[in-house]
Amino acid sequence: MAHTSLPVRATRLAIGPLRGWRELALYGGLLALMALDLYLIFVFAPTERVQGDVQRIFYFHVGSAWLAFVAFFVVALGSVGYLWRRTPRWDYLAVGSAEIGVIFTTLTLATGSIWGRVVWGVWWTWDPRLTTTLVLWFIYVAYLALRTYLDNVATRRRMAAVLGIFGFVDVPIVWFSVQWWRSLHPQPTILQQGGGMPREMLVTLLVSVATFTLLYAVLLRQRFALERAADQAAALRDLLRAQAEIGG
Amino acid sequence: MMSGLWYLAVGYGVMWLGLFGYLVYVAGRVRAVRDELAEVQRQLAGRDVEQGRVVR
Amino acid sequence: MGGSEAPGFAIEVRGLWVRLGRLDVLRDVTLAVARGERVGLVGPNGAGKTTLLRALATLLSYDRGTVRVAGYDLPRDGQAARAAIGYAGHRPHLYEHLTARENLRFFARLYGVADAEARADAALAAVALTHVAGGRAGAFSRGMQQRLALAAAMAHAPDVLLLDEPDAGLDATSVAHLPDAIATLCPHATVLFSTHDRAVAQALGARVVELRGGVVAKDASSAERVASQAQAPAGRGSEPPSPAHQAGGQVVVSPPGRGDGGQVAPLPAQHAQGQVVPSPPGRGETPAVAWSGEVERRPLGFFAAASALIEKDLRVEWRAREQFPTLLVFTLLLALVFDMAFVIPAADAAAVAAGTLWGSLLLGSTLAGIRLFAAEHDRGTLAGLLLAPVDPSAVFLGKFALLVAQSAVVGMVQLTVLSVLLNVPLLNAAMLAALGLAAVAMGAIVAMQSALIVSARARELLMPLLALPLAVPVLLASIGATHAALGLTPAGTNLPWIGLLAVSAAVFLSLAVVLYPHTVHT
Repeated sequence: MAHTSLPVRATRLAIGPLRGWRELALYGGLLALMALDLYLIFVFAPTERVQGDVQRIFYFHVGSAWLAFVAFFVVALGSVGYLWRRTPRWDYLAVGSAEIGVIFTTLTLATGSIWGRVVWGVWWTWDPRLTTTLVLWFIYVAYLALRTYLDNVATRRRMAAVLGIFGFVDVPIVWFSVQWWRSLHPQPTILQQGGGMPREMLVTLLVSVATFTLLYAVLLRQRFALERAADQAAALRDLLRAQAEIGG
Repeated sequence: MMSGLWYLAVGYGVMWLGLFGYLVYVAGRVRAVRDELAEVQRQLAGRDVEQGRVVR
Repeated sequence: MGGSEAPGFAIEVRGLWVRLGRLDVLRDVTLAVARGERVGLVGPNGAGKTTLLRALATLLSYDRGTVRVAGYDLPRDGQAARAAIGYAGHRPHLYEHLTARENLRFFARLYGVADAEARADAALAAVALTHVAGGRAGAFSRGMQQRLALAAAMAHAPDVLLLDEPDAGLDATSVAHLPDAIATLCPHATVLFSTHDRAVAQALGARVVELRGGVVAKDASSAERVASQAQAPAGRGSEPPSPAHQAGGQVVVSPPGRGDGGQVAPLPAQHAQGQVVPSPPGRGETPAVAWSGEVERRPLGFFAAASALIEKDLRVEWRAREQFPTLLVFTLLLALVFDMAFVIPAADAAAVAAGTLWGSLLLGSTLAGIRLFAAEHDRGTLAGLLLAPVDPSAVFLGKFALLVAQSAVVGMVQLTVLSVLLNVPLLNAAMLAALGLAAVAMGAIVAMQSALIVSARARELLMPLLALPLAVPVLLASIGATHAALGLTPAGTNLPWIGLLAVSAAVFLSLAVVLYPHTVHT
C-alpha cells in the first residue's frame, strides 16, 4: 500500500448501526421470521403425547444442530477457497463460520442435555447424534485453538485451511463409527422424531430450520465484516510502523 | 409436566442467552476495531498534514 | 519454456514485490544476472538481501513480478528449478547428529547426484574439511559449519548458487579460499551472494548491486534509470534522482573504477537486449558456457526420495536416541496408569484391557508426533528439505512412514506386555491387523497435525487437542475390533470394524498427502 490516506470505504463497515434499506430488510426479515417461528413453536405446534411440552426444545435443538452443520460446511468451503485462491476473504469466511459454528454446537449440546434430563432423567447420554456433536465441538474448538497459537498471519490462514478441510472430511467417518459403536452398545436416544411426524410439527420444524439458516447468514455477514475490518486496521498499523521506521 | 415446562423455559433461555451473549461479544469487538481504525486514520492524517502532503 | 538449454540470464527478476506479514520487504526489484556471472548484493540490514535470496531459492512466495532462475519460471517450475539451485542461508541446514560426510552424502543423494559418495568426498576436500569428515556436524565450530554448509549447497553442482553472507563466521583464510571452492565444485555456476564486506565481493570478482529499503534500480543506463524514476509511486521519494546515486530507498550501482578493483563490467545496454555478457577477465576464468557441470544429476523418484529421507531420519534417531526408547517406556507407563485407574473385576478384564491398550497407544502416538516436523523446524534443517527437488508429498510420506513404523513396534511391545500383565489373549491375527491399520490411520492424522503445528506456540497442548478428536473413529474401531477378537461381541462384528479402520486409514492418508504441500511448503 503506497497510499498514506485511508481508502474511505474501509471505514464504512457493514456492521453496527443500520445503514440503508438492505440492512433494514435483512434484520427486519430475520426478526419477523423469528417471531413467526416462536409463534409456531409455542402456539401452533401440538403438544407431544409422551414427552409433553418439553418436547418443544426439539425445534431449537435441531435448528441449532443444523446451523452448526451448515457453519462447518462453510468452514470447509472457505478453507478450500483459501488454499485455491489465497485471498483473505475466504479465510474471513472460514474463521467467522467456525466461531459461529462452535457457539451453536455448544447450544446444541446444552439443549440436548436439558432435553435428555427431562425425558431420560440423565444430563447426558451417548446418543450417536449427541456424541458426534460433542466430537464436532472438540474438532472446531481445536481449529480455533490452532489459529490462536499461530502468530504469523499467512501461516495461520494456510494451516487453518488445511485443518478445516481435514476436520470436515473426518465428520462423516466419526458419525459412522459412533453409529456402529452405539448399535453394539445401545443407549437411550434423544431424538425420537422421524417418520410419522404430524404435519404441524413438520411445518414448525421447517420454519425453525429456515429461521436458523437466516440467523446464520446474518451472523456470518457481521462476523465477516468484522474480520475484514480488523485485518484492515492491522494492515494500516503496519503501514504506520513501516513509515515510522523509514522516517517518511 | 410442570417440571417439563421449567426445563423448556431453561432451554429457551439458554438459546437466547447464547445468541445475545455472542452478539454482545461481537459488538464489543466491532467497537474495538472501529476505535482502532479511527485512531490509525487519525495518525496517518496527522502525518500527512505534518509533511505537507495532500490529505484525501 | 523452461529447461536449462535456454540461453539468456541465469537469474532474471522483474518487478518483484515480496510482502512478509504486512510489510513490503522488496519493492519492484529488477535484476538480471548473466550465466556464469558473479554478483554481490550489498546493503544495510533490513534492505531485503536475505529476502531476495530466499525468494530466488524458492523458499518464499512473492506477490507480484516475474522470477526466472536457471531458465525456470518460479513458482510454476519450482521443483525443477530447485535441482539447479544451491542455497546457503544464515543458518546452516545441517544435521548435527550426522557426520560431515553423511550430511553431504544425504544432500547429494537427495539432489539425485549419480555418485553421491564420491561427490561428497570431493566437496569435503574443496572446503578443506576432509580431516573432520567423520566428525559430527554438531561438534563443529561456527566456521567449520559454515564451510560444510557451503559444501552442501554446492554438492550437487548447481547452476545457480545463492549464498547469504557466505563470509559470516569465516576467518580471513577461509574467505580467501572461497572462490577456489566454488571454482572446484561448480565452476560454471552463476553466483549471487550477499555480504556486508565489499572486499569479499571484490575477491570473488563480482559486480556489486546495492539494495536499500527493498528497492534496486533497474539494470539500465543511468538515463533510463532516471526516466523510470519518474514513474515511481507517489510519495516514495521526494528529491529528483541524480544519475548515479539516488536518495532514500533507491539503488546505487557501482560504476566501473569506483573501487571495486576495476573488475566490474559496466552495465551495458546488452543486458536489456538479453544478450549474454562475457565476464571480465582477471580473477579466475568464469566462462559462461555449458549449463551443467560434470556432475550427473538425475531427479529422484517419489519413493526413492521418501526412502532417502526415512534412512536419514532413522540414522538421526539412532544417533540422537531421543524419542523411541522414551516413547516405549511412556506407553507402558500409560498402561499402568489406566490399569490402576480402572480397578478390574475379573469379568471386565477383557474390556479394560482393550481400553488400556488403545488409550495408551493413541495417546503415545499423539505425543510422539509433536516433534515430527517441529524438530526439523527448530534445528533449521527443514529449509534443507524445502530446498530439495523432491515432491513435497515424498517428504510427508517419509515422516509418516517413520511414525507408522515406530507405532507398530511400540504397539507390538504393548500387545505382548499387556497380554502378560492382564492375562488376556491379545496376540492374534485379528489384533495384529487392527494394530497395523490403526497405526496407518493414526500416523496419517498425527503426521498431518504435526505439519500444522510446526511454527505454533504451545505445541504440546495443541497436538492432543488437534489429533484426538479426529482420531475418534480410529479409537472406536480399534476397541470394537478388540472386543470382537476377545469374544466380547459376536464373531461377525470384527469385520466392520476392520473395514472402518481400513477406510479411515485410506481416507486420512490420501487427504494428508494431498493437503500436506499446502502446509510447510510455500
